Amino acid sequence: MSVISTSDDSVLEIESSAMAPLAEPLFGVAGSPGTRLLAGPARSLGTETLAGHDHRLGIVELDDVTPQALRDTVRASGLLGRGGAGFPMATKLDLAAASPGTPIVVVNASEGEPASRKDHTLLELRPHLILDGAHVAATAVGADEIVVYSHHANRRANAALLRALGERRDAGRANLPVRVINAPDRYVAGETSAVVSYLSGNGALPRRGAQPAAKVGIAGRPTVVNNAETFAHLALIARFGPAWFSQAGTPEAPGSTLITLAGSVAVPGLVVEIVGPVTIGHVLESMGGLDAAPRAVLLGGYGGTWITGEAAWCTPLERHHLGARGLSLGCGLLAVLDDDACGLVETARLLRWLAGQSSGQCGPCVFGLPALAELVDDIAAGTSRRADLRRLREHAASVRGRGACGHPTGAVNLVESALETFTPELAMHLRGEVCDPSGGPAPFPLPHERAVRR
Amino acid sequence: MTTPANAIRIVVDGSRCDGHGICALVLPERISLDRWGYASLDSEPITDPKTLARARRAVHACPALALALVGPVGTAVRVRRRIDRRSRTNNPSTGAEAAS
Repeated sequence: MSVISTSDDSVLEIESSAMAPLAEPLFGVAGSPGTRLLAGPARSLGTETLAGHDHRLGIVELDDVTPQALRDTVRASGLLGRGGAGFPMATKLDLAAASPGTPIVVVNASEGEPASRKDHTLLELRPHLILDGAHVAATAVGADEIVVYSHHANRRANAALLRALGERRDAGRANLPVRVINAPDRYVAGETSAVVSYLSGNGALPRRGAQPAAKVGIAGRPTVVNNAETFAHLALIARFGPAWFSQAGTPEAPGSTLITLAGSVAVPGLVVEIVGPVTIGHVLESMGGLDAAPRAVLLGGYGGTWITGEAAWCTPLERHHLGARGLSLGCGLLAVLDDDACGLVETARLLRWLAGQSSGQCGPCVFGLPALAELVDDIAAGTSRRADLRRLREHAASVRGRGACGHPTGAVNLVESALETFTPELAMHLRGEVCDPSGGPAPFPLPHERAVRR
Repeated sequence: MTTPANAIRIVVDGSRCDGHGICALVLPERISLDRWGYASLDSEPITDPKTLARARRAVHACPALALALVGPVGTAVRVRRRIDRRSRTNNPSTGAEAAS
């Protein structure tokens, strides 16, 4: 049995037979042996200092590396973006390097997905890893500036970031200017085109341009926008090489992956790094404190997919495998529905929130999502009939794939997978037998305090 | 993805579409209006020259400039400029760029 930690702070050996050899751990939290991004001090020890970081990993020497060699290394590693879309990092870097204008590197640490904590946690615990990675990317494309796009609500992460930048300045390692920009309060503000639009001086609204940001981005400059986790991987690839990197993960999606456990788990918001092949059940059992399959799991974010707990339990927690099954790891969220909660009620709640998060640009999103939310509300309240269900399915199908960004499609994913996953509950609700809402299990977190104003 | 490399498709920028609905009259085989009046497109590659000609007309007719023809990634602008030239010179469209 492997060594894994059962809580954030302590590393415990799972007691199996005393003879069992210690295999390579397949996953772990901050400080667990065998982890990569989260290796180093445990969470309770707080942010890793520059001195600690340098001592543990050494300094990345970028002076005598050509940008081309660096990009070739990234290409060989097969690194895919960790923001959800899984776009090949090397392709993005090549495009930015080949496009006219001086490139700019943007570390997207805004993490607008309400229950996701991976980027906040990484920024809080390992800011230097992310900054190293941003410098690697900047060197690979010849960028002259780095922007870290974060959100003011992530106070601890931002404090760690600013401290880290100060340490680098004091150590004479501030070779490129780093700007820290506060992301506005909106779910879609973290979408790449919205980030580019905002940093160009406009609203943080998704755009549908013909040109990718890596070609024409901020103020027309080639812009490498990536999730914070992606840059952290880059920092390790630059140190240990592509062969080491692809020892984790699978050939199709190499490297380790950060996921966030949320909902009805032992520690909601716990970030776990998946290094080897594991099933969702395995992770939920050892890290989430579950002893049996829950009723359902929401995978990939609030615009993600519900699957039944039984189906999830034996499913490998791996980007490529999930993709082949029509599921997406998305931002890495693994949210467990409480067994006493009703999936339809929870879906209605999330959908209402998603509808309110529309940036108000595209008709199908502005009108479609509230219409969907209303129909699902009626189902949750037990006032729907079969005909309403048909209408809901038609509505959902007509919204899928529309709009300038993935937001409406995400909402449709949530609705359609809920109808598929919560079939018995749906039949009850259509008969008017509504679940007892008084159980009051902690629902999935929503940033109500971040009320949205256009 | 089995679309040929030089395939031309019609796409809509949902953030620009204001639901004027002209496109759906010009190109009914590819564009329908949803229950709120916004254009919903079939973005399969257009191979039929007559459909392509109507697609061009739809792009031109959109008051919100929400429609575009796109070829392989990144060629949207070029296709569009050709259309402009064609419509000025009243050249009958032949769908030549689909074959080129």
